[in-house]
Amino acid sequence: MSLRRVYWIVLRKELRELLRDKRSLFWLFAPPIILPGLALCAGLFIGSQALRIANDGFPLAVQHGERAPGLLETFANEDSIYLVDLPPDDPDVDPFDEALVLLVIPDDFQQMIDAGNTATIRLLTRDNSLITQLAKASVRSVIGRYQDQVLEQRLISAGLDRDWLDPIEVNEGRQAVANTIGVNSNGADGEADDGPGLLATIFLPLAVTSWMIGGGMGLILDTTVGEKDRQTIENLLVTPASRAGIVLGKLTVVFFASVAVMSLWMLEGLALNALSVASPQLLDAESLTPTETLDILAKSSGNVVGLVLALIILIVPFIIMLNGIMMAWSARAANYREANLFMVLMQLGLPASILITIFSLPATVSLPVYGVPFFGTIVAIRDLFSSTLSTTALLINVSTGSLYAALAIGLAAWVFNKEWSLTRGLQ
Amino acid sequence: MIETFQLAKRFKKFEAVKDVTFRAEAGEVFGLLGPNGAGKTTTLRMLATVLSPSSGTATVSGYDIRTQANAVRAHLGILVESAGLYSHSTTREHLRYVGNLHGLNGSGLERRIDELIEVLDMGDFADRIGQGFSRGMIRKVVMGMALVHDPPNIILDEPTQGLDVVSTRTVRDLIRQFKAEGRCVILSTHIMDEVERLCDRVAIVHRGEILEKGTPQELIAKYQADNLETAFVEIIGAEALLNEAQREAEREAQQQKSGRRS
Repeated sequence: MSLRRVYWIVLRKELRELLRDKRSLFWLFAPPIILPGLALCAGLFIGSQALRIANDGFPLAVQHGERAPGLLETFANEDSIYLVDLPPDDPDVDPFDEALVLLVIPDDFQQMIDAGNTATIRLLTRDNSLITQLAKASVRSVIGRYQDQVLEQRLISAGLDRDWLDPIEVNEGRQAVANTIGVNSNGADGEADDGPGLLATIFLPLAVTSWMIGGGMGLILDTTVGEKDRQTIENLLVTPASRAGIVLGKLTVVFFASVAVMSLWMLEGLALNALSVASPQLLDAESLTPTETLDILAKSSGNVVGLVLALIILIVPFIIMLNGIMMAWSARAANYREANLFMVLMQLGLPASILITIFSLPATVSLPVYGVPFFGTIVAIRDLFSSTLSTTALLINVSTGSLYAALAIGLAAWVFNKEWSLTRGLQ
Repeated sequence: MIETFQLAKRFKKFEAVKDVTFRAEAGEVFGLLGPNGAGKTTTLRMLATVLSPSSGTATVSGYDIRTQANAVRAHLGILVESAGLYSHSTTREHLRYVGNLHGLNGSGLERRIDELIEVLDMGDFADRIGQGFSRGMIRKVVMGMALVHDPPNIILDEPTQGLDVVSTRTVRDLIRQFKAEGRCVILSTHIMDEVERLCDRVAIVHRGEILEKGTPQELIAKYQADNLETAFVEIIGAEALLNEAQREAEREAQQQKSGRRS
């Protein structure tokens, strides 16, 4: 019987088993669907609470406010602060009944300010909750503004201006790299727009970790060492079916599941990245229609189509290679315990090595690095997200990655064809 | 017809099967008897091309297990002693899957599946998924998988294990039917009564070697025994059987211990 026919038979059967296995499906798709949803809900809840309080103003009590009239006036003019009236010197009144933050002004506050010295005020809170922290930050920011005013007056009275304090000004920008993927150059001065930032790079470890912990790897175990565990492998081995066809059929199902899970993570990563890049614009705008919001997000996504395409061609051989290696090991393992040991090593080792690669390798690496198995793809994806991946580097990685993927499939088929691996664990 | 020629299998230093030679004819039920660990299952796995022999060879319907493995697989059906099922496939899908892997499809295969479901009395669970099947139900489905391609040679390793009385009678009738149809059947079982009733000839295997061969009646007469079981104990040796039983008990205890640990 031809390899292609065996491939289709095994593919159909494995796909059917997977689609009926609710537990496997849950562990595959729950992390990329539920976790970002939960994070979004938590973010929206905290954000809405913070916004509500910010609109009403954080309640602030000032003890002996009459000793700092200028500061008090600055607080009174601030929308995010709501001043609570405190009856003077009444020990029965607890300022924290109404206020989140208490500011205590000392006797000599104004004298110290007028004399050009440092005045010390006490800022007290009762708890360490998020809202209190936000209130404290808001109060400190207003104090900072009042301090700027005082500083400016002192500079003027000394015959100086603000520039005297800031002799150097730094103007940041990014230089576009020639022949790179995912870069939007604004042309004239050769500078690049802000591309996807560091935030997006953490999605590769997240995606790989999700694939491994969330069932992708478990799926490989289930289709290989699971056959030994369920004792179904002998029924398979006594048929004239091509072993390579069996391996390819199983690998294809795992591959589709892996790609689906990783794609979800990647899309979420790109969406979050666009949101993080667009957030200053979105926050600055007075009011936005949904169309305007989407327009800003689309512009902030950079060259999304190019980025996604490059990501797909980088990640497909990468997934096939990882699946092939895992399948080769699982086919050799006598039982789930042996296979799990390797899986735990992968679960710990892969995300760690991805993070090390992303953060420890220099920003510019030589071209042969892109051809190194595993690490080459990590570096390529890192560079893709930081808009520094050249077309040559992409081609090197894709061609070598495809070679490693083919070798990994070959390895899995070879191990699956060997008596010493298939008969381990037979009862 | 199945024929072995000095078949041997070595696992590192352990010789599981030593120079096993026998011939099972078409239309014959040939019994392979021996205590646990005698080398029966290893011999059957070599015949089914799951294991390759260290030396010697065998033929199934004239095809060599070493050089014509695919032809051997197409002419042989094997019921594996410990075989299991896929959790999310139905009985019918199991039979169809194995049938497809044997190159069968279409209405011919569907008719064969219906026939097996009726013969093996699997109608009640033909469209149920394998999860939660009893041991007896699993044995029936696995037997169906071994027979789906209608092989001329059939190896049955403990075929009635876990079956109820009615199912056991069905399987025994089926074995007689195979014989009547001119198929070659190799039967491996611990139930001596079953062997006496069904087997035309038997081989007694111990520590990888064939100690005796012949019809059950010949062996009973040779060892002046009342029945095959007594003759079997005489051949193997009561002490050897006790030792084997003890080793088996220790092995099971060890497995349970490691199972608890995991």
